[in-house]
Order: sequence, then C-alpha cells, then structure tokens
Amino acid sequence: MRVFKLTLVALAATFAWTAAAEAIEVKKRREAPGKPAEVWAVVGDFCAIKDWHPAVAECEQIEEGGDTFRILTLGDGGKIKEKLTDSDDTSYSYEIIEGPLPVKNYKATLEVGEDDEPDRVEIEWEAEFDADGVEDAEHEDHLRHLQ
Amino acid sequence: MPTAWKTPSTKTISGIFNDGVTGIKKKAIAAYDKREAAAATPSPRAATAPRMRT
Repeated sequence: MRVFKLTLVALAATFAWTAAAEAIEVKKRREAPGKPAEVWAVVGDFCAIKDWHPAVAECEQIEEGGDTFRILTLGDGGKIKEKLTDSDDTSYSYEIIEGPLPVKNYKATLEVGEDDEPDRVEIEWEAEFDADGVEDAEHEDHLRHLQ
Repeated sequence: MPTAWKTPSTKTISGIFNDGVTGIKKKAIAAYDKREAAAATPSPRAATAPRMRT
C-alpha cells in the first residue's frame, strides 16, 4: 500500500512538472512617448510589421476563407505565414501557420496600451508556444539566458 | 544589432521580440516628435492672417 501511495505521489509530481513545462512564454515591453491610438495608427496595421521589424523585408496580407493572413518574407527570403485571430482598437493576436521557426502552437499578441504616466504608452509583445524539435525545458533555458 | 533570422533557432525568439518592440518604440518617438514639432510651429495662415481690429 505504501509503495502504491509513493507511486501515486511520483506520478502526480511528474504530471505537474509536465504541465508546467508545456508552454513557453516570451514577453517584451517598452515604454514610449505618445498616445495609444496615435502609436497604433503607425504600427497597428497587420502588415505594418515590415515597417517596424528589421528582420521583415516584405509583408503580404491575404484573405482565405474569411480569415486574414500575412505572409512575411525575411531578409534571407524565408517565409512565415501567420493568421490574424483577434483584434481591437490597439491590439491584435495571431498565430503562426507555417514557417522556419522551431515552434508549434505559437500564439502571440501585440498591444499598445496606456502607461501610468500621461502621454506615454506601453508596448507589449507576448507569445506562448511549444518548442518543436527540442525539449521545452532546454528551450526555456535558452530563452531565459536571452531575456 | 538586429537579430538575424537567417538561421532560425530556439535562441532567436527572444531577440526577435526585442527587436520588434524596439522598432515600435522608434516609430512612436518619431510620431511624437512630429506631433510636437507641428504643435510648436504656427501655421502659415495664422502667421500671415491680418489681426482682427477690436
């Protein structure tokens, strides 16, 4: 009976660890001057990423089956296809459909919100995903070193 | 130095996000400076308009 209980405890611990390691989160923030609507007018278009991200050379927005997608062309010609999943006045969410990054179940949100100080904004870009091809723990360890 | 996406690896994702929010910040600063400059400069019409007699 004692062995059975110990086994149950070990199993529970394993499941808890696995659940904790399932998704990896990356979140980056910056503050800047301006008002959210003003900043969003410059960067909020789904394909405006080509104007503010140095790694994106081109962006093509397409509609398929009532959904909006963007196809990013990177500096070396690599392509990433992303689907717009939600949007409002100063944010949008999307997921990666296909691309060269070693991730799966990738969901991200870009948002420009009000900062605590007047006439300043908080820019936040966050994503949740699973590692594709390496162990999540190893992946997360790499990311922690870089953050 | 922008993150290279030429060799995608798990290590690049944090750098990609860093470059992105930094790029947005630059755009926000440029928009803010443009707004402030416009507010500080009187419009040509206001500068040349005859003063109203009282």
